[in-house]
This record gives sequence, structure tokens and C-alpha cells, in this order.
Amino acid sequence: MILTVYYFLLFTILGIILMVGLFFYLLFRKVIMNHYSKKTTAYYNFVFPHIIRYIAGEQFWDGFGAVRSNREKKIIVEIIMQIIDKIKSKEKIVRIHQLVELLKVDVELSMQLEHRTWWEVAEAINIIGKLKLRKFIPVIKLKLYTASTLDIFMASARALCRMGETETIIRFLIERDGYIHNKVLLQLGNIINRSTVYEKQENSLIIEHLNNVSIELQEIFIDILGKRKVTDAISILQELVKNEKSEIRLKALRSLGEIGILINDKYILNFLNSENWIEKVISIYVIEKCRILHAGQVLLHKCLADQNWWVRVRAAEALYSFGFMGIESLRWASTHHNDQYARDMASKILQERELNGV
Amino acid sequence: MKRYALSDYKELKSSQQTPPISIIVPAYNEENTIADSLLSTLSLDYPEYEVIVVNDGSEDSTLDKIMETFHLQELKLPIRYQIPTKRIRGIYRSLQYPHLVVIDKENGGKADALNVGINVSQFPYFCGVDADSVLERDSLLKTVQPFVDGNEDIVACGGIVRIANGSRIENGRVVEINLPKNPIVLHQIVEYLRSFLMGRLGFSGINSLLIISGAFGVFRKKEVIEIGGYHSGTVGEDMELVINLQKYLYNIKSSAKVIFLPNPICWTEAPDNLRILYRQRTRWHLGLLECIIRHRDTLFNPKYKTMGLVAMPYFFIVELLGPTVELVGTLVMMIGLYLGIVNIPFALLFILFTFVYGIFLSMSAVLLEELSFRKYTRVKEFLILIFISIVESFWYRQLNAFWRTYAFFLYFRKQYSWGNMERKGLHSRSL
Repeated sequence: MILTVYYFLLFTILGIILMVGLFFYLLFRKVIMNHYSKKTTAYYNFVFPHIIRYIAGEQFWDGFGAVRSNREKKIIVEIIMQIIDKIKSKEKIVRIHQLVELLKVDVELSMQLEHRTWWEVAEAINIIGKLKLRKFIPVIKLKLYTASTLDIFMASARALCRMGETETIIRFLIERDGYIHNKVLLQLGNIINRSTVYEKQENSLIIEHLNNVSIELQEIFIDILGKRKVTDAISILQELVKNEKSEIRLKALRSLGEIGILINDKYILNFLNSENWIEKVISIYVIEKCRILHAGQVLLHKCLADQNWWVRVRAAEALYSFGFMGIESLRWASTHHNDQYARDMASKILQERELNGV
Repeated sequence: MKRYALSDYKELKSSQQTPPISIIVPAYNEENTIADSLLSTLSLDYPEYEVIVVNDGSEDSTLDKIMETFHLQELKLPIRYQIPTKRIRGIYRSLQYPHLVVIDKENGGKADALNVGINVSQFPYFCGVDADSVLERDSLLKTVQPFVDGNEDIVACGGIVRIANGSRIENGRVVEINLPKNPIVLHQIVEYLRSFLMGRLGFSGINSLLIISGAFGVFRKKEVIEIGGYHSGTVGEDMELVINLQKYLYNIKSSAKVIFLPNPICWTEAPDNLRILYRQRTRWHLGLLECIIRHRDTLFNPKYKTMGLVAMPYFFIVELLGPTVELVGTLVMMIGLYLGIVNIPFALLFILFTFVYGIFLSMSAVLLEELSFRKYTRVKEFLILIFISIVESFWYRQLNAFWRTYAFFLYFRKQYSWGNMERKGLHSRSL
């Protein structure tokens, strides 16, 4: 009993000491952070117009050369990163890079790239990518191939894509095909698809290797071809629509829909008889996007009355997209179709589209 | 935290993997808050989503308020009744906001309203949001990030709920975060921090999260439909759904997870008087009791691994029975002291220890908040929260323990329902 009392006393005293210590630590930390936060906000408001005027070519502020503190440099870099994506002019980008060099940020970044902790390296790569510092491209390409952590690898991939080097990523994917985790592949595919700057030879490279890579990589490449609306890929995609693997067929169908052009629509219409509802839905998407108007009757009499909700929805939407004839078909279906579900769906799409003035 | 700082969740806006989401907002007598809340929900930063408001037979002018604010038109639309629900009286869509759908139905409770929303939704994921809540603009993007980027299969994800009282909200957005002046709300702020930043984060880490707040949580629709949706016969439908979901995942030996993320934020209005707070807390405790009873087969059941052996026993012993044990213990100690059968130094020391322990937990929550998100930036606010975390142990905890014990009597007398949660609205004012 006495021992228990002493234990309670001990834990209580320790608890009180810990709490008092925590309290003072937090209070002190908060005061310091608030002080620096005010200074940061004040400096941000002060330097922002100078940066804008400099980038616009209106004025060069002498104060840039006098910036020494890391905090002030960091604020300037943050401001630049906020606005650089909105700048299209090459001249302005050059001025931004001159400012970065004047502040010796590029020197600090190159040192940070050799840091021993992964988050410092990844942060440096992120900044380089956002600032589009192309002189670091060879270093980042090396990081892509030799990255010790996934974070550095993904940061390198993002940075290269931001700087228009998607071909490097594509070559990397081809070389390392079969060794990359599917989740990573998907993320890389997203990164490539987000890039708006790419060369035509990249598309040729993808088409050249499309049939020689793994299924997972093939799916990524098919997505890219569709997103980029590569008309050169239409014939190969139409062949892939007959592939034995369902995932490849679906991806190829979707990409054809995104491109919006078909050479031969016979195989597409066959999918409307598929047992797989997803294939039906995507083939309806292709019919809509490629404006295969003669599929209208099949959509109206068969797909609109399909057992699957999504097939009915997409069929009705596709018919509506065909313009006057499609809309009239839907109006007829909403009152005269044999199938109750078809009548309901036609009525639903008509009401929704007319409400939105579409 | 480092990885989070480096990741750019905004990239999800243009990712093909980012799933479209149906946001379901059940509303019952929410005429004061519905417009502000919907404004914030309709202007979320997310590539594709729809907002489904389910007016659950409100007796006030909730539906009129929505119709007037958002220019609704009634449509006759077919619905897939994947989950049985009460009758739907009307479906409306907005002229101004094409992604807003309003369902008017017979009163059936929050669970029934959510099930209607699930039936009407067209997307594979849904997010249940309370009608008095305001979501931060990027909260959906942050919540969906683990679904898209993560290595694990995620079935449901909850975000943190913070108290909006005292903060300035304009056009459905929280523009300035302040502490309220009302002491009852201040206590709840500390309580929410403790619950979300410590409790839920901890359980999520061991894959035993048993509750995702009804105010804000994203779910994959397929599994929810498989388990029959929300259960209408309980006042704790949010916890019931998650426990049911977890059980289902264990039963089918799925590796899918239910997780909690502390960074996506939902702001909600907390009760500012004891009467409403009492109703809320008794309802929560009743909900917990109903869930434990309904899912008692998971208790100490090794089939359900950490959920059955850790989480459920914790909720049963600590959350459900704990307040009553505390109350009874306090009474017994006082009787013992009066009768002179308790060792006074030991008793005083024990009481001191329990107070210190309680204060330590609350202060730790304030610490975590200060170390991580720092939403309350002023020194004065920090000092107030520390003060409240000390004062809380002297009256607020005991009051809650009393209410939660009383909830047992209400259960056995079958006197429970949602009650009238009076809302004042999320507009700028000091409390």
C-alpha cells in the first residue's frame, strides 16, 4: 500500500513536471513563431510588388542583391513558385532564372541535392521542377535512375515532366518494364498525362514499343495516346480492341473515343452485344465521341432497355449528343418505348439536359 | 509528415485515378444553416462531384430555403432502390448549380436519408456531410489522396471535425479562425482535439477505426450497399456503419482498410448551451451502447483481430462503461470518506493522480494541435486552450460522465431519438 502511494506520488510529480515543461516549451515556441510569422508576412507584402515588376520587365530593384537571409530568400522563391505556372513568356522565365541566380538559390539547390536526407533532396528536386531550372536536368535524370527512395524517384519524374522531359520518363519505363510496381506505374502515367509540353517523337516511341511491353505498361501507353489524341495510333488501337485481355480492349476503346476518329466501326458495334457491361458502356462512349450516327437505332431499341443502369444512362446521353434526331428519338422513347426502364431513362436525360439548357 | 509536406495533392485534380464523388447532405430542420453549408459544399475544389441534399421531412422551411436560394426545378427521375428507404416525395435539380440534386422525402431519420442519397448517387464514392457543416475547399482532395496514391486498398476515410463557433465564415468559407467566448464550446474544442488527434489517429494506425464522424467521411459505395447501407434503427448510425463495414471486411478476408486523416477539415457548429449539449451527448452514448449491443459478437473475438481484441473492448470498457465507473467510483469514495473507511492520504493522492492524468491527456491534445496544424495562432488562444484543458477535469468531465450514465436509463426506458438540435447558423458572430 505504501509502495503504491509512492508510485502514485512519483507519477504525479513526473506528470506535473512534464506538463509544466510542455506548456513553457509550447508557449515559447508560439511566441517565436508568431514573431517570425509577422515578419514573414510583412516581408512578403513588401517584396511581392518588386518581384512582379521585375518579372514584367518594368523595374529592377537593387534590394535583390542585398538579400542574404535564408528566410527572405525562401519567401522570394515561394512567391516565384506561386506565379511561375501562370507565366507563358520565355522572356519572363529567363528573368526569373536570372533572379534565382542572383540570389544564389541555384547554388544552394545543388548543395541540397547532395544532402543525406531524402526529404531535403526531394524538396530540392521539387523546387527545381517548379522553377523549371533546366540546367539541372542531367542531375535529375541521374536521380531518376539511381534514386534511393520512392519519394526522390517520384519527385524526379515530376520535375522532369514539368520541364518538358517526358521522353526521359517514357524511355525509363520501357527500359525498366516489368520491374516497376503497378501503383508507381499509374502515378507515372498520371504525371506524363499532366504534361502539356511534349515532342512528336515521343508518340512515335510509344507506338513503336506498344506491342512489346508488359500489359500494365501497355495500358499506360494506350492512355497517353488517347489523352494526346495521337491520330497515328488509330490503326494500332483498333487492333488492340480485339486483344484477348479485357483491360487492354477497354483501354483501347476509351482511347479511340478520346481521339474521336475511327477507320472501321464494325468491331465497336459488336461490343454493344458484349456480356460485360463495362465494354458496352465504353463502346457507347466511342459511338458518342466518334459520332457513329448509324448506331442510333441499336442504342435506342437495345441499349436504352439494357438491364444495366449505366448502359441505359450512357445510351440516352449518347442519343442526346447526336443532336435533333437523337433528341427526337429520346422523346419518342420517353413515351412509346416498350420497356419501362427505357422510358424512364429517356425521360430522365431529357429533363436534366433541358433544365440545364444543353 | 515530411512525405505529406512534399506531396502535391492538387495534382489529383487532373488525375484520371481521382474518383468522382457524391456528397450526401441529410437535412432535418436546418433552415438556419443549410444555405451557408451548401454554398461551401457547392464550391469545393474537386474535379467531379455532385451534391445530393436529402430533406428528411423537415417541419420548418428547409426545403423552401433551398428552393429559393438555388432555384430548384422539380423533375420526375427514376431511382435505383439498392437500399430500401422511406418514400421519396420529390426530386429537384438546380438551374444555377447543375451538380446539385435535392430529394424531398418522408421523415425516416438520418440513416434513412443517407440511404436515399446512396440510392440516388451516380458515383462510386460518397461523402456524408452534415447540413450544419462547412468543408474546407480542398478537404475532398485531401481525403481522396490515400484512395488514389496510397499502396493500400481504402474503403472509407474520415477527416477531422473542428468547431466553427467564433470563427468568421463568409460565403460558406472559413476566412478567420477564432476561439469562441462561450466556455461550453471551448471545452468541446479541447475534447474534439483529444478525440480526433489522439483517439482516431491511434485506432486508424492499428486498422481498428470504429467510427468515422457523420459530419465528414468518404466511403466506397459498393461495400456500403453490400452491407445494406446505414442502419435505420439506431441513433449512432455513423459508428454502426463503420463497425458493420469492418466486420464485413474481416468476414470476406479483405485487406481493405478504414482510415482517418487529420488534415482534411470539416467545420461544424457545436452546442453552446448545456441543454443541447446534454441531448447530443446522451444521443452519442446511446448510439455507442446500441452499436456495442448489436455487434457484441465481435467483443474479444480473435476472428476480428485488433478490432475484436483491442478496439471493441476499449469502446466497451473505457468509453461505454468508463464514465459510469468513474461516477460510481467518485460516489463510493465520497461515501467512504464520510464513513472514515478510506485512507485519506491515499484517496487524495489518487484523486490528484487522476486529475493530473486527465489534464495531461487534454494538454497533450493541445500540444499535438500546436505541433501539427496550428489553426489557433494567437498566444492568447493557446493560453485559453491550456486553461480549459486544466479546468475541464474539474467539472466538464464529471458532467459528461453523469449524462452518459443517465443515457443507460434512457435506453432501458426506450426514450431516445435525435431530439431537436437547435442550430444558430454558421455566420460571423462572437460567442
